Amino acid sequence: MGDHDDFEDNQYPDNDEFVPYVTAGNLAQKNGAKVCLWGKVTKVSASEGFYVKTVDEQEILIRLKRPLSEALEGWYEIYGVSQGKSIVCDEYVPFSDDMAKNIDTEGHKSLAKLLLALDEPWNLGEHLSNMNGVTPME
Amino acid sequence: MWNDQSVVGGGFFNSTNQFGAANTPNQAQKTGRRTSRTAPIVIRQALHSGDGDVTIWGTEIMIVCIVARVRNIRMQSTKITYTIQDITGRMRAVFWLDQEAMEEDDKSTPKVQVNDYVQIYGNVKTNKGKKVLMAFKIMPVTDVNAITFHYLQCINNKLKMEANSKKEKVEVNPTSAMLPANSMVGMNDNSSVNGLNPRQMMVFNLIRASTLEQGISKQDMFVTLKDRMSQMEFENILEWMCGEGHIYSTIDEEHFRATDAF
Repeated sequence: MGDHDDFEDNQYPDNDEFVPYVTAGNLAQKNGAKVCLWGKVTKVSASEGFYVKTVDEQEILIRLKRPLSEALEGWYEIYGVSQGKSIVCDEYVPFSDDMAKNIDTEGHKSLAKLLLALDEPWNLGEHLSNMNGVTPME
Repeated sequence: MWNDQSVVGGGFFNSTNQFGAANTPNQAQKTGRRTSRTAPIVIRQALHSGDGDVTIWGTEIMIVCIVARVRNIRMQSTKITYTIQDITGRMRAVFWLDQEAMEEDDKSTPKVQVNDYVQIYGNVKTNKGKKVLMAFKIMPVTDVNAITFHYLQCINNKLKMEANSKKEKVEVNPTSAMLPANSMVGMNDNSSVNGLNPRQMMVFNLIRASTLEQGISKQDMFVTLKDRMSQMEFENILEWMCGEGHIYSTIDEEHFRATDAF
């Protein structure tokens, strides 16, 4: 049909990389791996980055590659690489106060635990193991 | 007769009314191997699906729901292409624009910005070998718990469907391994020649024993069976036997006769 201009996102290409949610408790297990963490900013350090309190009530340092250029407050979703007791942050995304006002920390903790415990939480079944949708970009 | 189980409590039309809620309507799922109308999935599942619809352990899903973050938005005259990302991967979602609605106001354009979390309902399609989500409804996520909930639901679904598909396999196997169901060999009560397990035989024998032309009613059967099995198991057995051809309904959906009856 008409539109041949399929938008191939070169900046953000398709991928099926699994970056699990973690809590402070299982951060150490994921040392060296890409992780995603929810935390509420407690304090900011000009030299290192900022500290957040996680859903399991522990404080974790988020190391930044570039100095902060804005004030940080509230809950954030932080993507980065685990270093055991801290995270080297690739990016962070704020959750608005409205979104996070009734945040279920227990629920999120359980999700993180589950994700760690399950081998293949997303597999589609035995007949479909081919990766039809994911082809290398030209 | 075969109640349309795929529409129980949910299905596409019902879910349209629930678009106001942040939670996903997944009541449409029943036993596996039925076409499930809507289900929450993660991006990885969409990317790994074969041609056609997403299938999780045998259950085809026509309409999917994905909760993800918007990384990139590209507006064109006929469509908006979003790059969405969740913890399992990244893909594109296309939202076609309705020309008429656009002229009135851009109410049809979702109020979505980069780095917002959104909930998208749509179909997974393959375009030039790449998977794309054809979206027909995009809503901003208003509560972070919806994100946690979505992943938990996806995990739950996958486990449920996996269990269902394995359970069905176990039930169906005896039939294929044994003699054909219509075989007249040894129609004794305890034989499994017909491929029926003892529970199913219980129900089947009741039906077979009826001498009435319209057969025996569900009610009458259940009076005898209710101490030994649940209503749900009873209904499931009846449905399965109808599907296999062991019994058939007569004057209405409540009365059954056995195909082997003399």
